[in-house]
Amino acid sequence: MSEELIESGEGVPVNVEVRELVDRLIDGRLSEEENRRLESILESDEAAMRYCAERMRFHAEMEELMSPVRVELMQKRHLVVETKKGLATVSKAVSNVVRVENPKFGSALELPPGLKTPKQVLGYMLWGGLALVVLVAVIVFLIQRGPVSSEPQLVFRNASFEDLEINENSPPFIYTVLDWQDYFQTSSVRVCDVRRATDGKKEAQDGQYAVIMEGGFLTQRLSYNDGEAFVARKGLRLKVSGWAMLEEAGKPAQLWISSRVVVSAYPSMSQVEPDVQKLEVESDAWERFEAILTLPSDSLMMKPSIFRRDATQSAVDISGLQLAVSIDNKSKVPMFIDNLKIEVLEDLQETGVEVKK
Amino acid sequence: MERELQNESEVVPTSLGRYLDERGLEALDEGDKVRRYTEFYLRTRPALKAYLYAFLAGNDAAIEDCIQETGLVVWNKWDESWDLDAFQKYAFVTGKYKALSWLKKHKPAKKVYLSPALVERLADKSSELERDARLDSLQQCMDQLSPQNREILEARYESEGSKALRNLAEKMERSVDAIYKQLERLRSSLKDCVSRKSKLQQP
Repeated sequence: MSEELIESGEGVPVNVEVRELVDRLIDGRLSEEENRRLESILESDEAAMRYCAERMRFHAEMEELMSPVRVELMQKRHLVVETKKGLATVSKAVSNVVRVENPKFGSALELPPGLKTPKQVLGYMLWGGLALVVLVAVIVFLIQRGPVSSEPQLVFRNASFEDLEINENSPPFIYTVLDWQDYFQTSSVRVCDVRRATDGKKEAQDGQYAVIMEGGFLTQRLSYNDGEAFVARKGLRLKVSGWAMLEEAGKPAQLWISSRVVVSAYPSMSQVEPDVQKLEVESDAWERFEAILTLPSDSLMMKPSIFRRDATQSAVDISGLQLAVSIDNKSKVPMFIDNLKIEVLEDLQETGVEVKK
Repeated sequence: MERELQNESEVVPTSLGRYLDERGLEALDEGDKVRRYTEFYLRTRPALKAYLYAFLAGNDAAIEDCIQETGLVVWNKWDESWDLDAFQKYAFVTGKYKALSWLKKHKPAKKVYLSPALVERLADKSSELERDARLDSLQQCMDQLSPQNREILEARYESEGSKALRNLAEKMERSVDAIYKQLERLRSSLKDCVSRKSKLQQP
């Protein structure tokens, strides 16, 4: 065995034996005995370890130089010419795929990776099949469960008073409060363009418009968003909320929120008012209000609270009659109202437990 | 700069020593993800290959498989904000697990490998080495070789290693061991040559 010393990468001498063993390792020619010998040397000799690492690195560089990978660029250009609404449009796109191939082994890496190997294709097929099975199972489940009911929601129509536009060149008010005041009219309530009406000092709480109430009322017969009438029934609990703002600070305004049923409008007015909540608005900035309106759970035989003096006042069963909500400004203090909401908190209905929201 | 391509697909041969000004990749924008990744991948290959020799020395095909599988894993995880160093660190970690996975799966019976503890140390040592390839210097040194020596290197590195060397030994009427011995000396000579050139290039 030669004892000739050679230089390692960092100038540390290693003997020829190390060089021979390392090269035999690299070339896959180590016998078991030589393998043990090399292990023994590497474990005890840091310089030999360093030499081995460098020799492997040099071998790798040699291989990369002598048998270089081949870079293949595949470029596809897509040019689409189409006419839309009489205008010709041209769109183009370029997609690139780089294939790095080692000709020595005939294997290649494709970037971005595509479906290349049968194993990959099989994997994707398995996952695709699994996804399909899950999809079918979900569909079967939904069919067995029956049609999904998109339950109608109780909502105020034109809740933010944005449904009718006020001409910019007209005064910033209109007396038509769309979807409100079904039975009755009042000149005390108008929709207004808040910014124009206040010379830019105030803004609507939602959108551009709000109503301004100088006394008067807002009333709407309730219905679901599918148009079905919302009728009075025992044990109902509703929440009415919205935003209110005084036109000017100073005297507070009395805001009453009530549930109502119009029993008769002609020839004599007769209304039942199952519940009323009385609030106070004090600020000339938007403040949120909320009122809970409840219908009795035992009986809906109720005496009218609003009627002509000469009419009879006998109790009326309001069950099944369309319910309305009235928002009244009981003072003469001008007040803005905007962004109203209504929701059903509790509805015992016929079963006693069903809640329809 | 976008090259005009004559065909929809064009093949551009490359060698690693020129990857930075590779004409094939220049057809892509500098910010192109594929271009950036390919450059990083090509620059990482020699160091990664050397690292994998610690685990799979003598099995070049397995090493190439691991490198390519590593390339796919890194592509999927790669964040474009990574610099080359971050790219290579992730590639080394991935490569290690690919190599261990290969050994576990194939359980090579006849191959002789270093002990796992030693392999870990050797791989760590390999990962500490300068990662920039010295292929330009190596190319210059190889250009100085005689045709016969060049033929030995080509047999080892361009063809199916051991089989080509056996054929060459037969053709040269020399023993296989003598050819391997010559190969060993050639490596050392080239390594010395590269070291000398590197020292000359240092400022």
